[in-house]
Amino acid sequence: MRLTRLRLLLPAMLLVALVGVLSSCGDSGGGTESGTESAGIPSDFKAPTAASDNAQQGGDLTVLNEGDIDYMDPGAAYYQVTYMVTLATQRTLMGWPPDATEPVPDLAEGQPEETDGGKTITFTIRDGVKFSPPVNREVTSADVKYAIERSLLPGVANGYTRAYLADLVGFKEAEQQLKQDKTTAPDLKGIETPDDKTLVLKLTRSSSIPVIQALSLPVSAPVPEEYAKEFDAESPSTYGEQVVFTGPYMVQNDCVDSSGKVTDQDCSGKLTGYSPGKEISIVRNPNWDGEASGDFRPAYADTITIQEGFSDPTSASEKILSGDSQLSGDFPPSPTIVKDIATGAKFAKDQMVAVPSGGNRYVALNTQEPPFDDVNVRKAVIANSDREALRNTRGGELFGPVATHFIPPLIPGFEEAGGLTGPDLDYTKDPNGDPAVAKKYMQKAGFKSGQCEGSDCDITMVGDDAPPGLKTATQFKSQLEELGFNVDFQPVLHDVMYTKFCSVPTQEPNVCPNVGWIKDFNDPQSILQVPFSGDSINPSNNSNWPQLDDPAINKAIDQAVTITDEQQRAEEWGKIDDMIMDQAPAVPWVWDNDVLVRSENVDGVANLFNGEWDLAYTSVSK
Amino acid sequence: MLRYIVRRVLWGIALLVLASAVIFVIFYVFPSADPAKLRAGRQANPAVIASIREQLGLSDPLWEQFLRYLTQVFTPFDWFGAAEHGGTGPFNFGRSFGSNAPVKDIILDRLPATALLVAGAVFFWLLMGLPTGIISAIKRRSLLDRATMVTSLALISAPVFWLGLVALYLFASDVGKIHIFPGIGSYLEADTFWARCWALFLPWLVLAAATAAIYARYLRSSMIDVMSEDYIRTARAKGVGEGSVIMRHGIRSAITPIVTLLGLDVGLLLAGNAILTESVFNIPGIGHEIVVAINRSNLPVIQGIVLFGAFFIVTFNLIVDIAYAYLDPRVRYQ
Amino acid sequence: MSARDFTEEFPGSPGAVGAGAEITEIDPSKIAARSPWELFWRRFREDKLALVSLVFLVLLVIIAIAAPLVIDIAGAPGPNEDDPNALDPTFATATGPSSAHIFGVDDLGRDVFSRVVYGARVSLIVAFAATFLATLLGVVAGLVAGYFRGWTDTIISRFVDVLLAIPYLMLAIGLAAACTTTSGASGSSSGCLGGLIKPGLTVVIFVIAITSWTYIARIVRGQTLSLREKEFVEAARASGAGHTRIIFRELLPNLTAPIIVYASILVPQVILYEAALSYLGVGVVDQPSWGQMISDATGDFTTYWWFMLFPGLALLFTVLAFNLVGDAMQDALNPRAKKT
Repeated sequence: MRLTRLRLLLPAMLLVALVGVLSSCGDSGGGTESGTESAGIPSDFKAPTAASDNAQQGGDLTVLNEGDIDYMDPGAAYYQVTYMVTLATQRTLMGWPPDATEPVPDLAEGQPEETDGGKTITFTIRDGVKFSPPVNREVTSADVKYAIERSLLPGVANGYTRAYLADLVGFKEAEQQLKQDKTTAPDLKGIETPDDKTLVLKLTRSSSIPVIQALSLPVSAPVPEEYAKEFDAESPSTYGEQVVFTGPYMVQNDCVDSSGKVTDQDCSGKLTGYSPGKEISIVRNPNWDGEASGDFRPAYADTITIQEGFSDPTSASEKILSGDSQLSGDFPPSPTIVKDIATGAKFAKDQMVAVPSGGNRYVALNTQEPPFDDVNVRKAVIANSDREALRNTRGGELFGPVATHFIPPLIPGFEEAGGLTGPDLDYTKDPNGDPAVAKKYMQKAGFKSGQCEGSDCDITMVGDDAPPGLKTATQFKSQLEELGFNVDFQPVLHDVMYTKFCSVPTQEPNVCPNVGWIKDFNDPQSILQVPFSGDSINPSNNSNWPQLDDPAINKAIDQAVTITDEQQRAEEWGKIDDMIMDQAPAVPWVWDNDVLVRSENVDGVANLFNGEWDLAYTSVSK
Repeated sequence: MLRYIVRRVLWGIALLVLASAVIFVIFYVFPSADPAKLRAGRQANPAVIASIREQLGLSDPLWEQFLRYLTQVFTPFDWFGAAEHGGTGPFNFGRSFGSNAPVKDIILDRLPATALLVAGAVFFWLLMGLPTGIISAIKRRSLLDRATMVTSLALISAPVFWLGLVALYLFASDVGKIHIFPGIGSYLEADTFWARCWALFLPWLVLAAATAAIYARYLRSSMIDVMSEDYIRTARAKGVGEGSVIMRHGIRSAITPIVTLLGLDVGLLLAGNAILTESVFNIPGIGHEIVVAINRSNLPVIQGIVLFGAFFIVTFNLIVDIAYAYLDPRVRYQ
Repeated sequence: MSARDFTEEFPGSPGAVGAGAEITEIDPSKIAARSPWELFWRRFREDKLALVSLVFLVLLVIIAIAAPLVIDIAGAPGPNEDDPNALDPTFATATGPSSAHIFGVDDLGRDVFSRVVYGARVSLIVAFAATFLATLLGVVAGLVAGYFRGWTDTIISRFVDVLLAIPYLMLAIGLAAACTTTSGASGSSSGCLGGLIKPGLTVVIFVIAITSWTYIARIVRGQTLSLREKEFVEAARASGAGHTRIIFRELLPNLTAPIIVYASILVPQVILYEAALSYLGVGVVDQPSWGQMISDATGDFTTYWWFMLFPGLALLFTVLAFNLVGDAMQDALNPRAKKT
C-alpha cells in the first residue's frame, strides 16, 4: 500500500513529456506527431498544488459558479463540483491533499491495517476531531459507521456506496432491512466498532483497495446518529439542511456568525449559509483544531463565499480575471478568453491553470444493435473519426489531449495501457481520422464500397441539446455521414438523454455521443468497471452505454478488482483497457482538463483529485 | 359593483384551478428525466428507484397526484396523502428535486429580482412611450411623427435578447465598447438595493425600448381616433383651448385601454415573459429559474413557477377588469 | 415579448368595448366601378415604406426558396459544412469576416453567410405555417363560438380563458420539450399527436400555433357576434338558409378582411416568437435558425460579434418589413380609422 516511485514520477514525467509550446506546435501538417505531442498541459499553465511559502492567513475568497452543488448532505454528494465544498468542510477517513495521487489518512490515524488477505480493514480514528456546533462533541467510530449505513437509505441515495462497498459482510441483509423500514438506517454487520476509536470493516472478498479508496469519498464523513436520526426519518432526508462539519470550515448555520464565532448556544444547527442556486457562505469551524487533530489543511482564508447563477462564462471569467479575491468554480473560461490569456493579449498567464479532470469523454456505439454489433464497423467508425475536431468542440488544446484509450492520465494503468499514444491500433493512430483505414474495416464488414449500404445504415443518435455537447454531437454526426450513415439526430435535455434514452438499454439509440466517465477515485477500477463490464449492465440506470458484454473482459475485470499489489493492479487494468479498445465499443476523444482562472491577488492551489481550486489551501495575497 | 367583483374573483379562482389541471397534464407528458433515477445515482437497482419514486409520490395514480397537488397548493387540509408526500398547504408547491428546498421559497426568493426588473422597465417604457405617442398624435403626419414611429417599430421588430446583446456590446462596463453600465452578472454581485438598481439599468432600458413602441403606437392611434370624435369637435367649437382639449379629453379617454394593456403586460412579464431579458443579463429571476429547472427536469419547480405565473396573469386581468368596470359602468352589466 | 399590439378587444373584458376597432364594411354601392381589392391596393400603395418592405419580403422569400443557388452564386460553403481552416488551430476559436467567409464562421467553423441565408427558410416557414395554423384554429373556434353562442360559446370562451391564463412562453417551452421524444433504437418517433408532430420544425410550428390561436379566436368571435345581427344575415335566415350556408356565404366573406389583417399582424410576432424559442434552446435545433445562431454567439459575443450581428439584423429587417406591411394593410382596409 505504499506509493511506488513510478506513480510519484508520473505527473512530472507527463508534464515534461508534453511539449508546452502553444505558439508554434500547432500546424505541422497534421498527422500523429503534432496530434499527440502538442496535447497536454503546457508548463505555463501547470496548476500549483501547494501553497506558496509566504501564504498568509486571512482574507475573503469568492468563488463564482454557474450552477449549484448537487447536495449539501455528504452522504448524497456525488459530483466533483460538490467536492470543492466537502474537501474543505468535512474530514473523511482518507483524504486528498492537493498534490496527492493516492488517498492520505485524514480522519484516520495513519494508514489502515489490512489483514486476512485483504478481507479485514482496521482504521483508528484520530483524537481531537470535533463536530461543529451544535453537536460539538468528539467524533467516534460509530459516527463513521452511521454515515455509511445511512447512505443506503432511499432518502439519501448515495450513488456509489452500492458500487464499491457492496462487498461488506451483511450488505444483503442490510438491504432487506431497508425493504421493511425505509426511514431508519440499517445495521451493516460488516462494520464493527469495538471501541470509540476503532473501525473494523469485514469484506466477503479481498477488494480492500477499492474499498479504502471509496472511503476517501464524502460518504465516510462522520454523521452523529443521535442528531441526524430525526432528519433521516423524513423522506427524503432533510439532513442536508442541518449538516454538521468536521473540517476547518463549515457552512454557516444558526449557531455561528460570519467570523465563525459561536453566537447562539441554543441553536438548532439549521444551515443559514446555503441558499440553493444562489449562495453558499462558508466560515471557519470554531471547533476545528488543525494542529491538535493532525489535519494537513492550512485553511488560510477567513471566509469563502460561493456565488451561483453565473451562466455566462465569458463575463464571469472576465470578472474573476480583472477583479479581486475571486476564483472560478464549475465552469471553464470560453475559448476566446483562453486565447486572450495564452497569447498574452489580456491578463497574466499564471491566472489560468489546467488540471487533468481524471475523466474521459467518448462516443458510445450500441453494440447490441446493427450496424454497430459488428466490431469491424465500429473500428471503421473510430478510424474515420476526427477526434481532434471533437476535442476542439470543447475548446482548444488546453482542454485536454486527444484520447486513445480510456484510462486517463495520472491514474494508475494509464502508462500501462499505452500512455498518450495508446495501444498500437491502426484505427487510433491518426487523431484526425484515417479514411483509408476506415475503408479497410468497412470492407471487412462486407461493405465493398467502403461506405455503409442497406437499411442498417439508418441510425439514431440522441445527444445534448445545448452547447458544448450539442456541438460535439453535431460534429460527430457529420463525421458519421462521411461513412454513408444516415443519422437521425435527436437533441434532448441532458438529463433526459440519460434517464430516458442512453441509460435505458431497451430505449438506447445506436449512438450516444455525449457520454464519458470521471474517476470516482484514483484507481482504474473506477474508470473501467462500471462503463465496460457486462456485469454492470443495469436495466433502468445503465452506465455501460455501449452495452459491452464480452465474457473475457468481464472475467478479467472481476478478477482485477481483488488484486492487492499496486503494480500488478496497474498492469492488469492497463491490459483490460487495451482489451476494451480491441473491441472498439466507443470512440474515446479526450481526456479532459479542467481549466481554472483566478484573480491576480489570489494564491490559488488546485486539487488534483477533483480538478478544482482547493479552498482549504488557497489564500489571498496581501 | 360588488357583485361584479365577487363574480370575477370566483371565476379567477376557478381559472387557476383549471389552469393548474392543464399545466399538470402537460408536464405529465413532459419527458421528465425520471427524477427518481436522477436521485438514485449510478448503479442503483430498480428496487431503490422504486423506493424513491414512492417517497416522492410519483407512483400513485395521476389523478391522485393531481388532487394532492391541488390540496397542497390551495388548502390546508391533509387529503390524498398530502401530509406524507410533501406536507400540507396552503401554498405548498412541493420541494425541488435537486436541492429539496421548498418550491415556494425558491419562487419567493427569485421574485424580487423579476419584480424590480419589471417595475423599472415599466417606468421607463411609460416615460419613453407615452409622450412619444401623444406628440406623434398631435403632430400627425409630420416628419417627426413618421421618424419616431418607424424607429419605435424598428425597436419592437428586433428580438429583445438581441437588443440586450447589442446594448451590452456597446455599453457594458466590463466588455463593452464604451464603459458605462454594469455588465452581465452584475446583479448577482450587488448587495444593496441601489447597487441592484444600477445593475438593472441597462436591462431596464433594453426591456423598455422593446416595449415602449407598442404603447406609443397604441396611444397615438387611440388619440387620433378620439380626437376626431364629435364631442371633441364640440369642445373645440365651444372655444376650449387646444391644450386643454388634449389633456382633459383626448388623453383621458385614450388612457383607459393603455391601463388595460399595461396590466396585462405586467402580469405576463411577472409570469415569466421576462425570461429572455433575464437570460441575457444573468438576472436571477423567475424566468431564469424556470430555464434552469427545465434543463434539470425539476418538475415541482417548473409546475410551481408556471402556476405562479398563471396566478399573476389572472390577478392582473382581474385588476384590469375591475378598474375597467369602475371606469365604464356599461361593462358591469354584461 | 409583451402583450400583442392589437387595437381592439382586451382579454377578460366582456364584450367588445375597445377603441377604434370597428371595421366598416365596404359597401359596393357607394363606390363606383372599382372592386374592393383594387381600392385596397390603391390605398396600400400610398404607403411608400410598406411598398419597399413588400418588395424586400418577396425577395426574401425568393432567396429562401433558392437558398442553394444563392450560396452557389456567392461562392460560400454549405450551411453545415465546417471549415477547420477557419478555426484557430490551437484555441479552436472562430474567425471573423474574411475573403473566404464574408460573414465569418461560427464556433464550429460553419459559414455564417450561408447559415443566415438558410435561416431565412426556417423563419419564413415557421412564420407562414404557424400563422396559418393559428388562424385556422382561431377562425374555426371564433366562428363556432360567435355563431352558435350559448353553451358552445361558453365552453370555447372559457377554454380560451384558461389557456390565456397560462404564461404562453412557459407553455411553449414545456410543450416543445414534451413533444421532443423518439424511442431510440427501434426507430419509431413518438412526438405529439401520435407521431404527427415530429421533433424539430414541426414541433415549433405546433407549439406556436397552439399558444397563439386564442388571439385570433377572440377577434373572430367578436366580429361574428356583431355580424350575425346584421340585416343581411337575417335576410339569409329568413329565406331558409342553413347554418353552413350562412357561415360560408354570408359571414366568412365579411370576415376575410379582418382575418387577413390580424393574421398579418401575427406573422412578425410569430417570427420573434420562434427566434425566442430557438434562443432558449427549445426551438429549431437541427437546422440553421437565426435565433439559435444568436444563442450560439451569446457566450462570446464581444469577440464573435459577427455571428451575433448578422442573424440579428436579418431578424430585425424581416420583422420590420412584416410590421410595415401589416400596418399598411390595416390602414388600407380600415379607411375610417385614419392613422396617417
